[in-house]
Amino acid sequence: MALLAFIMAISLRDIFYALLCFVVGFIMISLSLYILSAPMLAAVQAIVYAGAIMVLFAFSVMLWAPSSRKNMISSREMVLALLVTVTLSFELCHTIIKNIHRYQENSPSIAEIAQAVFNEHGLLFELSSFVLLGALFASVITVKTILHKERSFRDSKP
Amino acid sequence: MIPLEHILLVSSAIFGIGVLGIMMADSVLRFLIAVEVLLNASALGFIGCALSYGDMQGYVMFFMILVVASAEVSIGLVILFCCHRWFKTVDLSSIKRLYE
Repeated sequence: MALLAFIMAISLRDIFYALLCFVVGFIMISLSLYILSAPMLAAVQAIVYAGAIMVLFAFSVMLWAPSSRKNMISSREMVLALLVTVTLSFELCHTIIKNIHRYQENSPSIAEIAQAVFNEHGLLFELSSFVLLGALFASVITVKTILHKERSFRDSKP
Repeated sequence: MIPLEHILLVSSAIFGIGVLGIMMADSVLRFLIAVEVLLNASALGFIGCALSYGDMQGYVMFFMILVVASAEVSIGLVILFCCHRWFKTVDLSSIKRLYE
């Protein structure tokens, strides 16, 4: 289901329907994580992706979505893209199957995950919060600069 | 009990779909969607390996991927905003033509 949803998300012409399929794909990934006995990560996946990131995408679709696909890629480019993808996927599958080890079910508790995230990888966790803060500041400053430049350009016109 | 190879095969298939999406993208929005698909595929792979080997590194990497995805969406939407302001379109081919 996730594969089908993602295929539809990249191939549907209408960006709104593509976005809906994208959400379905996220929810399927979340269900997969639940089946893999990682319920906390499934919840985080559903909340962050289907809740937060999709809202941003929905806003951008609402504001800037192209009305139709005017500039379709040519069939030659599509064949080339398919060829590269199939080759890469084949290479990846071959490597995985060659070097595979047996699966041992060993699902940690939430306390163990918290221990790993906050104690053993505390510095990484703090750095990730700085990454988010930096992205936020960069977004706000860039948009403000663009708007300011546009306003000054408009004002300078006679 | 799901074998690790099945998880990794699904993950690599989703990764392939993401790569195909990037190569077929005709607008900035579709490009961002394809990058999100790629990040999801890698997250699924990390979780599968973490469960398989009983290691916590995969869980930590999952959280890092979430952070990277969130930051990437915010920056990507600013790029979308810039494209729309400067070129009056979000189509990649039109942007390329206008840039040239």
